[in-house]
Amino acid sequence: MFKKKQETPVEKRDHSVYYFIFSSLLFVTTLWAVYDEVFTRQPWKDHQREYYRESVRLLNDELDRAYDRVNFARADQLEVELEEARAIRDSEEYRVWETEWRELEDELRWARQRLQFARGHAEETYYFYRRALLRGDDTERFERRLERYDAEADEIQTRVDEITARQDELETKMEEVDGRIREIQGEINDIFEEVWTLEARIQSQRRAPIEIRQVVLEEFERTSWNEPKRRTDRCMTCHVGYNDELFEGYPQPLGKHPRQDLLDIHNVEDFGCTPCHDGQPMALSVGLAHGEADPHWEFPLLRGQDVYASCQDCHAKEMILPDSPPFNRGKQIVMESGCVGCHAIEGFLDVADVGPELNQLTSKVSTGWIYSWLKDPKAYNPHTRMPDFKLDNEEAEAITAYLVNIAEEYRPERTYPGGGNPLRGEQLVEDVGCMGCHVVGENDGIRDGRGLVYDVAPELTRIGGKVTADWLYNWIRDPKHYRPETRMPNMRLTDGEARDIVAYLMTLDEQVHDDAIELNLYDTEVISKGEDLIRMYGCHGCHDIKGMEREGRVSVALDNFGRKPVEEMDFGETDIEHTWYDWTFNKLKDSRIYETARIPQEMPVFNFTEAEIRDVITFLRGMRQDDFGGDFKRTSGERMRDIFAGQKFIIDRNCIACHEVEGIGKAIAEVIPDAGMRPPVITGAGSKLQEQWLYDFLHEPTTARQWLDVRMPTYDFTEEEIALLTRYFLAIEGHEFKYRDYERFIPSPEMIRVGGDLFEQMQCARCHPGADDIPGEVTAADLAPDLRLTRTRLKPEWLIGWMHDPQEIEPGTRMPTFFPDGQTPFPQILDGDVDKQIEAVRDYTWSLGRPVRASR
Amino acid sequence: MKTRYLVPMILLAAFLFAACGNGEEDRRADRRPAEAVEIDPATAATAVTTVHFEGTAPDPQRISMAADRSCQELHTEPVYDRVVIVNEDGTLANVFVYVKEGLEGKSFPVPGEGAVLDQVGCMYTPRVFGLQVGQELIMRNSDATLHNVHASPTANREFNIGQPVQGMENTRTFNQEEVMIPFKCDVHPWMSAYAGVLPHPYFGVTGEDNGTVVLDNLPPGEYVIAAWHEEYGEQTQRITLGESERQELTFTFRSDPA
Repeated sequence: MFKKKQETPVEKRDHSVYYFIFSSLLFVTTLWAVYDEVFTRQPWKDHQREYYRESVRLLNDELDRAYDRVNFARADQLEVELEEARAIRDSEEYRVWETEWRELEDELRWARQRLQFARGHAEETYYFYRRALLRGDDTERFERRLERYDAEADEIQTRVDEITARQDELETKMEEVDGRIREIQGEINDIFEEVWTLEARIQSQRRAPIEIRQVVLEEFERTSWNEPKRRTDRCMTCHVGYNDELFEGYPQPLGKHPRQDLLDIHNVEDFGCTPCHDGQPMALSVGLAHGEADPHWEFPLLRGQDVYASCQDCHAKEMILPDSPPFNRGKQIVMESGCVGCHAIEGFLDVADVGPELNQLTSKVSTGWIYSWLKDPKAYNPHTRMPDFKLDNEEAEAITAYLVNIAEEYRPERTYPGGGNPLRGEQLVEDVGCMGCHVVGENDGIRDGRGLVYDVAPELTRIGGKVTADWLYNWIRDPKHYRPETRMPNMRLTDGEARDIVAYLMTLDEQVHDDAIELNLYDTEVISKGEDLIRMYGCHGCHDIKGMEREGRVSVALDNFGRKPVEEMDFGETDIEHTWYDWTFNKLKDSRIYETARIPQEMPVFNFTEAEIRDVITFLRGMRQDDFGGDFKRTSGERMRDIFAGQKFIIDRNCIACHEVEGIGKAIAEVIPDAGMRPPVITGAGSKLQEQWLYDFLHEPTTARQWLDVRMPTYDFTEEEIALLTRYFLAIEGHEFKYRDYERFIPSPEMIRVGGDLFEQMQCARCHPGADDIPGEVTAADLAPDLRLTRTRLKPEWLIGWMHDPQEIEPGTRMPTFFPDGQTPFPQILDGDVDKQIEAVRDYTWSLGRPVRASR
Repeated sequence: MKTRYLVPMILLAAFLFAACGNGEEDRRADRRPAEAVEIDPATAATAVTTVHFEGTAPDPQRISMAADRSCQELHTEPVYDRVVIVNEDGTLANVFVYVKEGLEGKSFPVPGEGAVLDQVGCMYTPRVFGLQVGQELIMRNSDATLHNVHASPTANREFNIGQPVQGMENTRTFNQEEVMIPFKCDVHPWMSAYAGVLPHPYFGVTGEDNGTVVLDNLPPGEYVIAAWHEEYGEQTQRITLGESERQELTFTFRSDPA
């Protein structure tokens, strides 16, 4: 064969077989490529087809329902009327009007032209007339001509006026007919509008193209060289129905996004999808797009509650986001549990120690108690935040020795005089608000209300077995005397109340420690071992301990923990699956689980529930230092600074135990079932309260709600803390922090008079106590604030909104609305104008108080 | 066959094929509203529910209306808060009896006439009542004093309406099924009422003369009938009603649950 080939001259050789084979191959490959491109690799097309099919089906169902609502009887009647009206328009009479109008229009055009000419001629003649007059020529000729032209112009003008009048007349007649037709047509349109809109939508869904859909984010992220990097999200190519209310609750990928409220504030056209959900934005097949089938993609889809992790990218400097419980809980747990004591976490570095100072312990508790507590804190209080360091006897003894040796002596201000009624004490503990922070025995409503396994204030079930009556008496009278930086506020107890409470609490004297235990506490070697242990375990992260002032955090920073590669995680000898999630989950569940003989673990064991671990994991996943967010980041500016500081403060001081703020808190609801007896919602305080009053109240609370048993404690806030809270309350309501003179609001005497009349008729004084109350008489007037406070307490514009709909501002309030559905029961006053009436009542209540400066 | 026609032919065939896909005829030539589904009176069943009481009823608490003299003046006799009213025949009054399960997916017309909650002599009348989802609730103040009607639902929206004028009425509707919604008047703490909101008309309240509620015109089927009392909670019974069947049911509330 080869011989033959060589023998054959080049021009006669035949390669057609090869050509045929290779071109066939090419042909088949091309076909295959086309097939692959069109069918195999494009599952999204099926999704879109299904979406449009379903959409047409659902719209048709909707259409059926819309047709059921159509008033056909009325439509038929209108159709007949329309026919009649059209018949008139088509009648001979109408045609005659039309023809006449058109002819008149023609004539009018010519007449106007003639009028212009005539006027022109008249002007011209007048010129010649004036010239003749100046030259002394004969003017009579021109005068005659002028007269003639003027007469002609007047004549034409008369005709024009006639024509326009007649035209107006005809137009009115025709408009009567046309207007009727338009009116009927309009009504028919209204009847069928819904149906037609749906039909149009069905048509457009039928014709909609199958195509890739995407949102391009120009500046959401940056490259390592700080260049803006474009991100293209194509998720909606499969998740086609994400924004279609017909697909509410429909299975994915076609279902509507479950959180329309979040979409409303994160418009997909601007924000895309992956900024919240992660995943591989450009990919078009499910595994790659979700990033889970691609082992090298660093941002796989955030599933379940972890989607709230990405909130952190833009909302790092916020503790509370509306309706985002996993985000809020995660941050709260991390802050309250003292994670930042050992781990640096940006934004939390200024959080005060979560544990108490330990420099005067011996005045409060016995050495046996300290030792037993260190060995096993949960034995005394199963819900303490203090984690378990798994100390052995020697370690616990050494730390006890160190603490005992640094202890300063505390000199109590008062001594417990004895006596007191334990039953009254128990009632007081239940009523005045102790239950807002502390659990006592069966009274654990606050724990249920918080929904967390740990308490932020110590449980008092065994308090009598821990402290002395003297110490307790001093403590509850004035907590800051023993510990100036304590979070425990002053409940303004009288001596009698304090005696009763001490009498009650000292009955709770169960002891879990052994006071008889012999400890070696004064050996310098033991003490110095204790010092080393404290330094190693980082006790100073949560407690102020003498001698540890210069120590730093003992563990790693967590700012980029969400991006920690699994290769850097040590799984010890466990057979836990090697993923970021499993490592973190098990570490939080049992922090010593990865300990081996050679690698000790120092992190103490927390007793988080699995739900709490999930929340902390959501937080940790969001700990990434990638520069995401671009202009969407909400981290800078004075307002955000005020909000972040305020949110941390209200969580740190446990305001949220009693009050609802920004949709979180109010755990005390579990303790006080009657909504009317709970402390108020304070989210709107910035809109409601005058700054001066808020300042005075925070400085030294006075009674504004005399019906409450529970007391607002005295916190002895510093000026800075009051300013911080005021700024926060103003910032979340969108107000600026600036001086405002409320004395400049002076209502008119007339409005005050009308308001007083309304006040009388609405019988406001039935609940609001006032000057004319008869002392000693039992009335409903214990239920509402004294309105004489209004002028110095409330903002004038807030009262307007409040009276419109009190339930909107404070759900559960006993204040009713007197103007339901925008109607007033007094239509004869101020012409029944609800806004005016409310203003009048406001003005009247304003007049009840005295200007504060005048009285001082 | 000439091959040069092949490509145009294939294209044509493809076009025709595609064109056929759009051939769905308009199924809405002339559409009229569908008739509302009616219950056939020939097969409709009836459940007759009687509520008994066993044990001793707690003593009624005397209400002090001293807080509002205009209330006090409306009564010459002492007024009692009668939470538990046992009738002479041993039946219990103010029990809300209703079909709890068995009517899911069916829709019923909403009565045009509203349910009325009146305030007479500083007491609610009736104390326990039912109404349908979407049905108007008319709240009337027949007293010459200020009342506020404060409803505290969980599924529906809370409202609290002040009624300072004698004879004034306000209306509200509930959009969600809810058994029961408590009503109270914050001015007169002794006033309380309960409303059961249901998506169907099969409910009733036992009276002080008659401890029986007749649920008639029910389509045959299996139902859970519930009886609710503000002091003793809720009891349920499952029944199956055949065509035109009339069944009697008895609930018994006990003063001390054994």
